Amino acid sequence: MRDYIVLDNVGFDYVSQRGRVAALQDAGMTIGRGDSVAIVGPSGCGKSTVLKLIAGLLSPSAGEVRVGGGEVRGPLTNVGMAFQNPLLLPWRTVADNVLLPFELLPGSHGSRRELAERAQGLLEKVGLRDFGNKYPWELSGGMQQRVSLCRALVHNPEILLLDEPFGSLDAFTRETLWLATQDLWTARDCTLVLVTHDIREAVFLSNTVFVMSPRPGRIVYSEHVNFPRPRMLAACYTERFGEIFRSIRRHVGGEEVVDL
Amino acid sequence: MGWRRLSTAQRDTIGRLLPPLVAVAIVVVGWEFATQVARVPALLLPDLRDVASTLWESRQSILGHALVTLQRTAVGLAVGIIVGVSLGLAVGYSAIIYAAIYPLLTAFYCIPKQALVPIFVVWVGFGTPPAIITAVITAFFPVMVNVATGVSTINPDLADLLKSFGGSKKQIFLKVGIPTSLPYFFSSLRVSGISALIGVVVSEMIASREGVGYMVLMAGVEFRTPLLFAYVVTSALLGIAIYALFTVADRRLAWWAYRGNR
Repeated sequence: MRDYIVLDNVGFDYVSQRGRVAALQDAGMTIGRGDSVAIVGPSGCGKSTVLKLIAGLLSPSAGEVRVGGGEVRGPLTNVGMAFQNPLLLPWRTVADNVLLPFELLPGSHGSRRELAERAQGLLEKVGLRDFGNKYPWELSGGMQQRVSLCRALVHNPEILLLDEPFGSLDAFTRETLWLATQDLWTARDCTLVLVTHDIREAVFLSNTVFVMSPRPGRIVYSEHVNFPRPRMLAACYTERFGEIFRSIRRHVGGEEVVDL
Repeated sequence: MGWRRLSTAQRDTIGRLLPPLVAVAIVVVGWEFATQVARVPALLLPDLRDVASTLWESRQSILGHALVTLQRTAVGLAVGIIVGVSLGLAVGYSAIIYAAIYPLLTAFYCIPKQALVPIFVVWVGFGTPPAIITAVITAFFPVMVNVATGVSTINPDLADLLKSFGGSKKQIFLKVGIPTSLPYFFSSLRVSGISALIGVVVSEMIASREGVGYMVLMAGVEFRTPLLFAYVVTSALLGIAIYALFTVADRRLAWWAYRGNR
């Protein structure tokens, strides 16, 4: 489905005591089902707002947000989210943290054993096989973020929304997690929307990179990335990668950075 | 010195115990200086040995009164905790309830308890009942404030995350709000326990014929200063015991707050 997620001339204002601030204005984008896209842009341009609109946590002030053909009117139940802060519950083990969505989603989802196996399977996939019984504070930041990714996928969501998930990690851990994310996405049939300020990350992980303007945000540019999958880190150091990177970089920040 | 021959653990223990022992020693030395050297009148400051010998000789009677006070404190604290937790959860969950009762409760809490004891006596009689009520009204407030804070302080991103997983307000409250508030709750118990003790002693000074507060009043009125000081020391020991008890409970039961990145 080519227009699985659609932002149709969306505007969004934040209302505070100081008045209205337009975070998004005439923002439009179309994301196909099963695709992997990234949104890059300078700080404060409204990237996180786009994710929250897709998830149904916010309602647009103007325009429409559609998922699967229908308008989004409230929090969707087929999304998984992860933020920059892993936000694990410290009184629960890693495995219980991963299983949290099942406790919140309505309906029954299977026996405890099945669910535990599912969580364990995800943990193994990200290299945390023996950490199910540990507590979050026993894990490093990168490991906690991997748990957060598992939690976002445990309920097999159709949409995975990642809001600068690797922003607080060092460069080496970030690269490891790019590969983990790629593995997780490839193994499932979900649509990935990644918000990041790291263009390399965006190009590595996605098939389309959208560039947002500074506030009020609109999509000003998009670039297709057709490196074959599964992508290896070595791809980041090829000429072609550099060209795509520069092509995108020129359009970030609202002015053309010409001499790249 | 032999310092180098000690293990790290031994040095740590000494490092922990030495400062408070030194502080107590300084108090003792100061006291002795005041009574023996500066010759402060015994009516104002009794000799340390007189206080100690009075404590020992009257130990039966002191224990009896201390037990009365402790029992009243325990009951008042238990009820106060229940009241505090219930109000804290209600106030933390609903903004309307918060707006309705929080300012009133704060105003009520500021009233000097001594002024309220006579009212309680008129309502429920003399002795133990007003002591317990005073303990309840002194003890509930810190618990309520801490529980309300803990329950309603949730990272907005976490709230978003839980909502995106389909969580309702009630689920978020039960699964995240309440566990989050536990460390805050346990740390409020220390303050609340001490407050309950103070409430009981205040009530006993006004309207009781037994208990530490009553004896403090009687000893003071009869100018039996060593006995007065003995009871003051007793009430201090009760306070320390309560404080220590809840400190240990806090560490044990809300362990994750001490190991995490909070």
